[in-house]
Amino acid sequence: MASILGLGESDLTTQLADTNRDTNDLSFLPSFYNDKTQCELKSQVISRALRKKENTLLCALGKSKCGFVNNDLRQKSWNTILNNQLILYSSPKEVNNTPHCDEKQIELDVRRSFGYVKDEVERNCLKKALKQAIVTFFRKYPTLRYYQGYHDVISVLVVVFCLDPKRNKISRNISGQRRKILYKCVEIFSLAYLRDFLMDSLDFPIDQISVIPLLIQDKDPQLFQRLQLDKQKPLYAIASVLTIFSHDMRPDITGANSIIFQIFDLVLCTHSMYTPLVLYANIVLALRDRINKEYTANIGNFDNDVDLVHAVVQKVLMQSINDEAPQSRQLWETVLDRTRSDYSIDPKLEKKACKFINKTSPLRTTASGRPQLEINDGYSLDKLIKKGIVLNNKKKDKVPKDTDGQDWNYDRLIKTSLLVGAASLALGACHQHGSLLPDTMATSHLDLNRIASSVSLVSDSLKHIINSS
Amino acid sequence: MSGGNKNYDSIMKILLIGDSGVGKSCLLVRFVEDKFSPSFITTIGIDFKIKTVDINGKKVKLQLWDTAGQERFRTITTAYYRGAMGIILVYDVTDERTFNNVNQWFKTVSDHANDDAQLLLVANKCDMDTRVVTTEQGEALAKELGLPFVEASAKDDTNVNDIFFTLARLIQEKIDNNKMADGNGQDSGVNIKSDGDSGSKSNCC
Repeated sequence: MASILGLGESDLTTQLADTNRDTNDLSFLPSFYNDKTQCELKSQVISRALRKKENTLLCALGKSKCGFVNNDLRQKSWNTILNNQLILYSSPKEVNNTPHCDEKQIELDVRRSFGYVKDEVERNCLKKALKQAIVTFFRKYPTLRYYQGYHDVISVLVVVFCLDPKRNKISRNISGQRRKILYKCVEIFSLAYLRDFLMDSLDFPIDQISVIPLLIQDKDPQLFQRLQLDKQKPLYAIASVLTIFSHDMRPDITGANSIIFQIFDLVLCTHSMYTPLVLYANIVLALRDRINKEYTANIGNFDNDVDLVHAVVQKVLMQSINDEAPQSRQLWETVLDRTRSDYSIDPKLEKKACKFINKTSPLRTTASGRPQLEINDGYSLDKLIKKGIVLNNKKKDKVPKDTDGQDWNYDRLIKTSLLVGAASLALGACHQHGSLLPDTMATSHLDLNRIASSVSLVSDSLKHIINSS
Repeated sequence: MSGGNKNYDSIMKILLIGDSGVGKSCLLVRFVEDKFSPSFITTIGIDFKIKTVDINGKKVKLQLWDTAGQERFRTITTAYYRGAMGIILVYDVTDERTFNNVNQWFKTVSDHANDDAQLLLVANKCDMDTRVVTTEQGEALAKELGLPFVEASAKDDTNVNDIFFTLARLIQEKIDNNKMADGNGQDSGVNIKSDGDSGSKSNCC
């Protein structure tokens, strides 16, 4: 096949690994990947990238059409990417058997999970793995709080990691080794990406969904007006954002390359929690005609505009997800494709978002879109979490006039810890630069990215500290 | 179709609240779709469903808002209390904690809902052998709070329709009484008069 295409696996690899090439620009790829054989070629390239520890290439492949193609490659790729994204040198407590305060809620939600899995043995196996993964994580991080929907996100990881690639079915017995990998991935994914949602209040995710209006305003001011996004926050997006769409799109256990897995591929490969927000804005934009039609049909049917907009958007969105017609799948594929090319946040928009997003948010630290940046340990993460809570409480105590957040008055302690945090990130990057980790050495320009990103983070942090003085 | 064409006589906004796992979504799905699944999915934030029913010969469109039970979602869910004409407060007879929390939910309603919203207390899962909250306890609490009370089971479909019809009738009575008191014949809330045209179902939330 390679000869027909005129490109061999290694030629393709070379093209993708070309550091001068924008890794988002994979325009030469789609025509290859329209059918099964093309996906097979992609599988080979992914395997090679894994083998050669070419992480930049791996991420480029994960955020191109079809993502990581199948759950066997996905397991390995997610494990590699996550372990490069956040390196946990030490943890506050390795083993903690004190029950977490949210374990009753966890039990309630796990009990209701995987209801769509017909085989009882498989279902119970998945439930058991899900509960163990969640409980293990929360016992290790008792300051974090469980939220309803976290179980949906972790279900996706559980399905991916519990797949037996030989049988292409859910494993009935997950090996200790596999379980360890799953727990580590759950830990890193939760800490680096979901941290805002695991805080002590819903304020953090509500701040995140406030980015959606900015994205819609940028692309369609008319729709922005119609949905009254200048007046009301899109609270209807909360389930999609908190669960990265996994609440409404169940992870398929048949080994199919479902949209939900590809969404997770994209989030991980863009290293960004902006990605689900961009995807949400893009799907709403793609559905604008239907939304407009429903809106017009329902004016007068609701007590207030909050209800009207919520009911209309939810109805249209749910139809697009639940509709089994091929057009619906096609629509989501198109929107996902669009997001693959426009996930990066315009600096002006990011600046606007930073005015209301907590300084400790993943959007501004561990999942801000900077590739493989964060090197951290459990202790500094714990500090980051506590600082986030303090900042949020301060923001809440502020009178609403402080909408732009510029005149926040940080006390000495916060200023100092910010500085320490920023410095430790830079040190971490330098440490990583000097280390002999094979992953790091494989692609030489990666270290420069790390340093550059760290420097920009340090300068950002310093700027904020100066501004707040 | 335009917003002027209605296939109903009035609209009622109804909210379901109560602790996580008491069966709010199950009651709703049983009522709207006549289905039941023991592993029904969790509600995150707030969900919206609709069902048109016949109350005293009038077509009433019930807008049903289902809420997440976990406490952290209250910041979001209370934003939807505005304009609710009916609120169904659910507890689980097999879980005493959910019964003890009814007072807290009642307070949340008092803080966020319209003063004239009609409340209804529902004891769900009454089919279960593992019941720990008795009917008498439920009745006593309902009396104390001044609420009508229904024991139900989404699983075996006991009194599920009753919940929604009782509430809708109580709301309708309130509307009629207000109309009489006002004496101007104007409908209150979001009541909308039929213009005789029937609208397309698919195009209407």
